[in-house]
Amino acid sequence: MNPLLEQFLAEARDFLQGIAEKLMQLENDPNSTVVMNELFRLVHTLKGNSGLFEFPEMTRVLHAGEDLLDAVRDGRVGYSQELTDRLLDAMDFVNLLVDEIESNGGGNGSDHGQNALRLAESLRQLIGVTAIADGGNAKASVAEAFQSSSAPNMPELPRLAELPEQQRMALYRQALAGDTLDTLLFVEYTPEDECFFKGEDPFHQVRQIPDIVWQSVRPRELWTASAELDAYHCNLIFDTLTTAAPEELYELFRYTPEQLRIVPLPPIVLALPHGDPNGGAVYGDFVTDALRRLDSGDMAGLESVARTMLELSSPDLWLASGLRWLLLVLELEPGNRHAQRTLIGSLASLTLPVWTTPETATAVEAVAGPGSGLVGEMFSDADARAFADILQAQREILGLADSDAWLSGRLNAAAAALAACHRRAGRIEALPALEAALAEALDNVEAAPLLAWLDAHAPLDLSATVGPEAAEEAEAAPTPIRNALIDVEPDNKFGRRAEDAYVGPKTLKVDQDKIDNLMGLIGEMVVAKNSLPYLASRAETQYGVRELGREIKTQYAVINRIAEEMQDAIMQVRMMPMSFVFQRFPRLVRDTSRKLGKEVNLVLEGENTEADKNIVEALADPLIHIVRNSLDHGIETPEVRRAAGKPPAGRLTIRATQEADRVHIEISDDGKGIDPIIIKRKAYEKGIIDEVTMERLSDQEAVNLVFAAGFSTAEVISDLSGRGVGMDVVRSAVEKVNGTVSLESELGKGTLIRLSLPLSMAVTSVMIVESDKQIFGVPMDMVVETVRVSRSVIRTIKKRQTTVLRGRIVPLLALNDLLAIGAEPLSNDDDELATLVVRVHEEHVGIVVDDFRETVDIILKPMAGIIGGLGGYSGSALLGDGSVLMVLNPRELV
Amino acid sequence: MKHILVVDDAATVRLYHRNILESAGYEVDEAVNGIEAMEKALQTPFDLYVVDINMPKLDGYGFLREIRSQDITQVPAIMVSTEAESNDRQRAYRSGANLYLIKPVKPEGLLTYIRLLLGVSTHIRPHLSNDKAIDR
Repeated sequence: MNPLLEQFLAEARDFLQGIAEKLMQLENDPNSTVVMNELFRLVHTLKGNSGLFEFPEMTRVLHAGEDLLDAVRDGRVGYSQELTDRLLDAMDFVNLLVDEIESNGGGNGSDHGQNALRLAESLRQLIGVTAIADGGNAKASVAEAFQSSSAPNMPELPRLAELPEQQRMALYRQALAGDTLDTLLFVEYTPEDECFFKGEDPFHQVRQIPDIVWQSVRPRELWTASAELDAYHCNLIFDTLTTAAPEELYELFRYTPEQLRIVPLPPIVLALPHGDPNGGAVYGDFVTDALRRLDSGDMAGLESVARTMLELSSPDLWLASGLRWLLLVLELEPGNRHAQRTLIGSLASLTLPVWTTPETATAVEAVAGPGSGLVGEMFSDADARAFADILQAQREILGLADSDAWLSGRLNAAAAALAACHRRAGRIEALPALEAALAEALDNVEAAPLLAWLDAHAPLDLSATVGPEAAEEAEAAPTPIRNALIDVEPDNKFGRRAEDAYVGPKTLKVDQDKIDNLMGLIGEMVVAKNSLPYLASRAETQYGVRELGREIKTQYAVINRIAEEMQDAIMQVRMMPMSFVFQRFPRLVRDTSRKLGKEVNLVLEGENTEADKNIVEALADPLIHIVRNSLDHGIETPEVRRAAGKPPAGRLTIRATQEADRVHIEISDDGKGIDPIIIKRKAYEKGIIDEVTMERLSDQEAVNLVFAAGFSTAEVISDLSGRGVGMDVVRSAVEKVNGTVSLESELGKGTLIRLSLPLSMAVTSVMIVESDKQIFGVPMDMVVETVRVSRSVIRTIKKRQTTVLRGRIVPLLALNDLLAIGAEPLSNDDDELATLVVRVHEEHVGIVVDDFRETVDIILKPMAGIIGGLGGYSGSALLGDGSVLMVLNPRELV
Repeated sequence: MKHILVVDDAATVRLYHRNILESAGYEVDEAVNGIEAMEKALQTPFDLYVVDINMPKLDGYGFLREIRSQDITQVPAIMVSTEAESNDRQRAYRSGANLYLIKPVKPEGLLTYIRLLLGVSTHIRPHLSNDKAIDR
């Protein structure tokens, strides 16, 4: 995937998360303009980003969202929950697109066109009537949807001449009579190659365009010989000239907007003379005369000679056609000298006039004018257009009538821009005058001298009328600019100057793989460093160099300290705040409770509590499950709550705290709690407990039955929870990361679920035990105690070996049996068996081993590959001497 | 080598502009908001700014106003926006922009404008720098 797209996707996710957060905040505080503005900014920026790529669906939806938010921001549309709902839907859709783009490496998720349209429509609906009334706005967005009309290039339209002159003239008249000049649209429809296979009918489609003025079809590529022609491959382009509104076109081509190019045409492009060119040269004098009259502004004279000429010419001649157009333009656009000049030029050259935008044409003319011969080669048409654009922009800037404090800065900048582009255009002869004009402008703090220069050196027909007016305005404006300049605080608000150090961005995004890799390397180093003590003792015992042994030990102490610090540091990098998981709850709770018809206030506490990334991630699913359970089974509907004397809105609290090296998470609700009697009955019905147990179980023990596999208490299976995965899934997920889960419940008052997790699972403390001359590790957090049990106190109860330890019956299991090692446990000289007491599911179990060894800190690597399925082991680790230690998982083993 | 500052809060847009500008041989620096841009502008003599409008802390208008109030006034600035409305353009011009372009800006178009605003005649092409090396 290219880096730009990668960057876009990563950033898009951040934005989407931000948008979701802001929407939640807005729901709690709909009047906050700060949140609203921030929300708008996020959607706006994301839309802008998506526009850099070909993701029309995404852009369309985001654009609609942006428009809606803009309307809300301006107070045109009121805030409603409906609005949040629809925006959330839309963002989900965008998220989906992002996922898809990521998974197929930048391919386009093009099957989403309909959804995008539907979502965009649903968002726009909320803007409602106001937006439709605001025609300009709607048009702009339509234009953007087609991503075309902003292109300044005019289509090549010589074929417009095919249209009868009378019709073109009528259209020209009609267009100029209307309010807007761009009612005439040129539509280029390029159906997909494979369109016939998609059930599309391009011809029918294109005939549906309303108000067609002219239509024609042409091949995209040259036709191949008929023998090789693939008739199923669409090779057509349809050109249409229409006066329809862009909205109608948008509606008609809503499924394939990308195949459409719409260009609004200035009416003058219709002015194309045609006819028999013979006899043109005779009238050379006329052209000279007409141009002279045009230059001197003798319009009446020009019209009169043109009319006389027309009467003398045969109507079928090119000349006659050109004259008819000239007269029409003189009548309807008397100010458009450029058009008139071009038409006269066309009479002389007997070639079709090339209509571009007026500004462009003038720029080309100006640039190609006298004294700039050397420019021609390197100054392309595009340059000329850009040159004209820049001139136009500076003209507009200089024409602004205001007295801002930074006016002289603006004048400076405009002059610099003008100087630069004239230099680029090779028109350096104009620069000294510009310098003088700038100096004068700065002295008087007004734009007029620069405007005057601009008019003198880069005359534009357009500006001939606009320029001086604007200049007058600028002059007329009351301008106490000097004072304004003094008002500027010498100490600007940034406070900093060049000598201050630059402060770079504070955070760095790093690929997770890189961190994991670093983590793995540090782990290996820790292990490698552990071999030094072995080396030291070998130096002493085997080689008899005590001095060297001691030195190695000293060095070891240093390396050990550094390694530990490194380990700490990398742990810190991996720490993530709980908010990573918590942030999705507001949305989850909101949606779920709405669906269930319940009212719930969610309280989140301790979001900044940090834990290792793996732990935080492992927590996500169990937490969601618990929260859903609470909402589904715990918190009652408002009616039930009122009847029970509780406030109608339930309360769900999720709190994270850190205690020593563990993170505790409590999820509590004030719902109906868990009824131990129902639990017992259910458990009995499902065969989880027998009758005797049912009688004997305490309430707390009964409540804990919800953790038993295959238990679900829901009376009605809703679509939220109760799909057969219950709290047992939560328990196993939590235990997988060495966590524990417990549950307290009071009937009618509520339920509290407590999760306790290690801060990090990168380093595990294990006790090494020995059995049948092999060593195994047992996680220390499961070890309750180590005892030596005399064979004499072991009894057999229900065919199981047991003993009594501290008044508690503890079943004894031999590790050799558990691992199917065919050897008897070895006892020591006093006939005592080494017994490791571990806690498994809140019960104590004694594991009989041959001997205990030391405890070590290890980096636990989970079992991978074929042995990954061995549940009895939680992983393996390398020891200091290079040997491998298998770490047992007593929960599965026992 | 001409030095251009790209100011935009969206990293994607910054990268987009950086790719375009660097491909044409310009040196590019980035800022994520008006404040940072201001700090950099006061420190480095840039030849041109490419500025977004909507940014946190200090937006593009504010940045340009500050720039035009300082001693570094004559550096040309291109403002890029997703808004086609004319009052945005006027605001941009009033704040001190020299050109107002609508996103996404086509690479070739942007470079053409920049060449004009910098008054340089052509791309800095690799073979040109080679010639130079030979001359030396």
